[in-house]
Amino acid sequence: MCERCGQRQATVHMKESINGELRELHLCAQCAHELGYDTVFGSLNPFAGLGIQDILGSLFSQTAPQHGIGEGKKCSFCGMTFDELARTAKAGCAHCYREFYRELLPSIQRIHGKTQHVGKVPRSAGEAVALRRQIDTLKKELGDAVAAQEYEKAATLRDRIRECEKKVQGE
Amino acid sequence: MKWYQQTGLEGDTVISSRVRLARNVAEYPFPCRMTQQQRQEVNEKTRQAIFDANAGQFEYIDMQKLTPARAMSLAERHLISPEFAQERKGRALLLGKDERVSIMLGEEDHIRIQALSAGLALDGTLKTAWQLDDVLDEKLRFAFDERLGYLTQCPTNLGTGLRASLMLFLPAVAQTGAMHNLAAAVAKLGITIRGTYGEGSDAKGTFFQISNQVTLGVTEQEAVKNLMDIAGQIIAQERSLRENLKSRGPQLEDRIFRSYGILRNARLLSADEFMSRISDVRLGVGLGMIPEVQLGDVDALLWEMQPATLMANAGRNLDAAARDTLRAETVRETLK
Repeated sequence: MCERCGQRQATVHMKESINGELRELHLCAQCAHELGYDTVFGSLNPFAGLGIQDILGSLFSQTAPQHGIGEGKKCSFCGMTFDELARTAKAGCAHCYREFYRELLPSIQRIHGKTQHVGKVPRSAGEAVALRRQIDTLKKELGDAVAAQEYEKAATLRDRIRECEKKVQGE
Repeated sequence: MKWYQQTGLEGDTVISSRVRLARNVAEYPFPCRMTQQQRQEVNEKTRQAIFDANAGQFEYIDMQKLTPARAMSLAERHLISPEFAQERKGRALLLGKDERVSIMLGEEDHIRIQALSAGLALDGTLKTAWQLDDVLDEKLRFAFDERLGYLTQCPTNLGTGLRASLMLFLPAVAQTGAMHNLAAAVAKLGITIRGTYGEGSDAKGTFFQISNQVTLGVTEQEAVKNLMDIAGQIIAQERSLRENLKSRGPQLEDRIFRSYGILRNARLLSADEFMSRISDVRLGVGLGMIPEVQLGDVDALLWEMQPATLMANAGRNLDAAARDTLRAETVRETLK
């Protein structure tokens, strides 16, 4: 229920940081509009072509931790501000993800459920990443082998892990 | 031969498999912040990389030079996104000769590799897309982060950048109204299912696209397997519902053969009526009621009778009446 009018269903949920004190707000769309929150978070009017970008946008705005609006942190490579990224749900360049990593992480977690890539790695990311990936896989296999009491297999796996770890340190 | 003229695995319920990989070149901003000059550079670098490795296998298409009908036709055949067909400035397409692979340049990401196959063939389709990915990886430095994986303009694609999808033909599920529950159930598993060829109308509402949503923290193989497992259950449900409908009396068979009769005799066929009738006939072929018709022929019609593709193949602009005449003619010829 909307905490301002107490009549309509709250559809806008956000966190507001005032003087370092974090406060949660649950409002209906109309009250959010009357209080001017929709101008901050982009259009919240469901009839104004609410697309995936709008939904994502409000998600990013809401979950960004204590990032004062208008603070205007900018990506040093492309000049994208965090506010703009949050509003459009589009990163301006690869560097945005590094520079706004902490701010984006909660939303990324909410979208994907996880925050660590597994899977294909490009050649350019270097041997090291591929090796670390391989180590993780081998460790998993090692755990399975131990659990299944396949000690010979486990010993081989342990040796391969050591080999890979040596290579990573060598890089 | 185009990929869709073949009948694939599980063809009675699966029309096509599609894999898309999102990639960006490290030293350039993402498309939303690119200049026209930068777009040209990335397009050219990608073209060069593909042409060096696959001489003669690809056509490079400057999207701006296409007629609207040809651009829309590519979208109708799922080779590009509808949005890519509409906003064409600074965008280019690398199209494989047999239309199994396409690479969109300057869409939401710099590079979107796509591979298509008939029927249920996601493993092979992923392999095809990965081969192109490897070719590009040789020449370009992709934007990548150890934690977040391949970096994409929209955070929903971070990680593998993989969207795997299956186009399913589910007339029985649709008819029994089970789709709503199904969609809600698979959503909890990180899978979306939505109608293709527009939602709402009965006729068009028998084709569905099912795809993975999560791209971070799950490997490509896991995502594909997860999707196939869920598709397998939906397929089983569809088949048992079909048998059920068939056993209830002659109504289903009657509807199928009426539609077959209309397609073989009509002189005018609107896109809507065509979709509705061909859906019945496809069901009949799947149930073994019409042995003289191949699924591959039905599917070729499905793609080629779409309005823009009809015009693109005819090589001229046609008004609605002329399209309906040509559609009826071609369908009669194919099913005769």
